[in-house]
Amino acid sequence: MTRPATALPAPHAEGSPRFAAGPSGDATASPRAIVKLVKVTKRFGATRAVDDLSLSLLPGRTLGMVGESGCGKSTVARLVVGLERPTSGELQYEGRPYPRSDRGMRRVRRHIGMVFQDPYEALDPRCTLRQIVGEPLMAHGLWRDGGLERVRTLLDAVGLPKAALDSRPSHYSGGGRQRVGIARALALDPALVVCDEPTSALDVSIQAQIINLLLQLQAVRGLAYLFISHDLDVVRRVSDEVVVIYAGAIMESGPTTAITTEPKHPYTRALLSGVTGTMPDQRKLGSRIRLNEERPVPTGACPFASRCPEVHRACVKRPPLLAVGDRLVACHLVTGGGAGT
Amino acid sequence: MASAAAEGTGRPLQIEGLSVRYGEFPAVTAATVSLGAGRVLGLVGESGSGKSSLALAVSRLLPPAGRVVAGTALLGSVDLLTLEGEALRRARGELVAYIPQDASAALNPVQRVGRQVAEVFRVRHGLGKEQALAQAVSLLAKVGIRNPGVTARRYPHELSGGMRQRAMIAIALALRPALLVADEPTTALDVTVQAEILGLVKDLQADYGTTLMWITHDMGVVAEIADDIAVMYGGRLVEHGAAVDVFKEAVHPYTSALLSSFTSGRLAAPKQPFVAIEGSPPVDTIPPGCPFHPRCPRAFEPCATAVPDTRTVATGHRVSCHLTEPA
Repeated sequence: MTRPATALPAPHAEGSPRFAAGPSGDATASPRAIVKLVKVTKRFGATRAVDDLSLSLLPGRTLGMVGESGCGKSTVARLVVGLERPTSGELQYEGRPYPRSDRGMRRVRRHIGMVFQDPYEALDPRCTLRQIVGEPLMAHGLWRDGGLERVRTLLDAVGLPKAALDSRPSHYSGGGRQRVGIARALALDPALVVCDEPTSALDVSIQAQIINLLLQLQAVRGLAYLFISHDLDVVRRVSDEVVVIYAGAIMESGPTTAITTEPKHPYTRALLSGVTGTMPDQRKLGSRIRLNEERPVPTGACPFASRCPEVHRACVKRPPLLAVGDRLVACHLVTGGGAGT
Repeated sequence: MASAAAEGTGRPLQIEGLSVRYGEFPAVTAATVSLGAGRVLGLVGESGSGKSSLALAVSRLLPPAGRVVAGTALLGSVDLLTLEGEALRRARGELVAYIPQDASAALNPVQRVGRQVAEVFRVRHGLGKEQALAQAVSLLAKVGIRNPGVTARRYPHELSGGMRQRAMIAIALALRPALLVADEPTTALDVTVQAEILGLVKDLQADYGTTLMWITHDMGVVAEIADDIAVMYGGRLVEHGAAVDVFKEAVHPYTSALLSSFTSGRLAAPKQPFVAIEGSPPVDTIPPGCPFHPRCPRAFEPCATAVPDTRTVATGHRVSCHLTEPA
């Protein structure tokens, strides 16, 4: 990291790390999940975009979620920030179910920030940075209470000059705009930030800057991240734990190093084998795992069965998500279940 | 597919002193690139580096606002930049073909895919409807589309991103061009699909002996497919050589920063900050002198004022940097 580690102003660092008005009053110090998904399913018509998904987002930790386009990862993001409601199952904020009322949900949403993929689309070109970053504060009636100073502090925290207050997004390239997007996501001092492909629209030299910034902000503020990407290589860099999603369901999850150095599920292995090599004289893609063409799978079968190069008889029965050492895997080949039938 | 240019498959490309401007803005300045017949060049740069302008100029697809103000681009003995009228029309597809980044924007949304591929054969080989379609179907099979007969009857929106990109590749390769220019065609695709498309283009390129220029910002893609690499920054070529040489011993500070950012990201343990290049690439104005000097950790006096000469530092390895000046 070449950026000098600026002494980051963490506005609410001393005393309570959050705005005090969280829905749960107690302040136990245990690393309890900020947001928890319990058997969440989201259907759009006949499609199960998210299928019986359970996961926990812990303070100071990054959960990386990988999967290909259409796997449901963006729906997970929308569920977590409360833009969608689950068809079944439950989302919890600090141990309590998400409120049903819009007003209640607004209170929860204040603790969950979001950084979007495309910084060119996500910022209103007519607004100044003061308005963009200050908007969440105004929307929650917090502007009068030192809002302007807060915006200045946030711009500084993401590495933008304080003089940027009255500039507009068009003044910045992709990296600068993504910094603005991050400042806005942090405006209400959230406990959790959902990052939906935050670097995939950026230049390579800028991706590293933004990832370093996210890591630094997390270290200082103890943020939880849900980091969503189709790029396993990026996810690997930022995550404590990785969840691999296919057809809205978890195929494999566990500690980052375990998943990326010893993948067990055939889908994880295929994703990893598609990562390009690092030297022109040691090419990797020739030995990549080739997936079969996607076809509809019968109900009750493993959702990955049609594409799996190692599909066998047992796969007509859906494998349960089982613990194998320090990870969870849903595959008969790994867990041994169903193979004897 | 016996066309006039068929025997020309895989011609050498020699770009010399190419400059492209949009109004007064110098998008590409004095770029010199050479690429042997049937070889693969990875043309690397960030947004605004001029890589796409260079590719579009060579493909003769620059938008009206852009113009070539100097230079030549010899493909074999033909200067692509001076072709006009019928000669230019014939050159498209036969001498040079272009694969865009976004296939869904390039395909006609209201025409079936088969017809769009067949159009090449109808117009250029004068085939009838049926014959042209049959050719199109066999070409779709060649680019790895299963059930090509069925796919040919589909509209672009009915296909996945990977399938659409395969259809674009089919159109580009239909006339077996001597030079194929691919403008980041895998950037928008999933990892597994990217791997398949890279493999496909590499196989077909080797099969046809096509000379290939692949534009990308991803060093991983270069590592996988390129024989040679050319790195652009601020409209200028800063380093050019065999991919293995440049990956092992990058000389220009920009190239080495890009490569160490790339490899450190790959090798570092999770959650370790990794090597980043400070600042952003130039957007509206190109800095005087070496365009990289405001971001360069090794910049010294001449860098801000004088554009460095291009020097050969090893066989086939050329660098534009004041640090390479003989003491």
